[in-house]
Amino acid sequence: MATAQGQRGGGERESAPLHTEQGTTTITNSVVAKIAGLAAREVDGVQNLKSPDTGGAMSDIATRVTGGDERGSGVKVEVGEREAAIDLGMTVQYEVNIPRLAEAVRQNIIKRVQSMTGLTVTEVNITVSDLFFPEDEQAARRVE
Amino acid sequence: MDRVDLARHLAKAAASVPGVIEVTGGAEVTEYGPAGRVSGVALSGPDETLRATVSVTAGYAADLDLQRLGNQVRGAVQSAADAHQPESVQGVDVVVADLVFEEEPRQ
Repeated sequence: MATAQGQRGGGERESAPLHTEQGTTTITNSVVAKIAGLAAREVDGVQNLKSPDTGGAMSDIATRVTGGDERGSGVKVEVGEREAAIDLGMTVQYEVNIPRLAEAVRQNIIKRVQSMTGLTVTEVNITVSDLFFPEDEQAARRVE
Repeated sequence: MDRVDLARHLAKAAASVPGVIEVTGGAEVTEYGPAGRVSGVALSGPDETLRATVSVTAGYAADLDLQRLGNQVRGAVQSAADAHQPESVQGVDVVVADLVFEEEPRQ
């Protein structure tokens, strides 16, 4: 959990929204991850989110074990006092232009995270880990 | 001063803010006392200059603004503290600990 606590008093150079004399507001990593995950999935052409570190296996297990919702899975976030850096892994639909899709995802994440949390997004690193072919799903269904 | 009693008042105030789904803090942000415990609120410091930490779960909305929500929670909690015991609480730190999505209204 990133925290902006303990930074009160006169030493601050400006009154950022995170800090007021009356207290601080801290937004945890998991909250930022969920917002970023949702923003990524909103973009047409994104098939799924998968953790770039583990190929999705660990986050899938974590989701199952915790019973938590998976909106934040596949997203790794570091939150500072006023800034957030986001790493994201995703699978995309086969026919898309990957650089353009990735840029659209990046812009949507920046827009959503900034407007919803007030944090400045310093970077969004995207790993495209797989392509999704519509036939795959059909084949999988036939096997089942 | 009964801190658990004060904490209960503050938790109630935070829970009444629209957009707050739950006031809960795990083991960390919890006020403990002989009269019970209050999850989501922790008071620290000497009695005359208490600092409150309040941990909330927010509900997702398309126009979500967590800084605004944090300020609203801080305002509600500070007002409740002042009403309960004037000038006891000198600051309220808000933690937005989780975000939940409610497609269907909870029963």
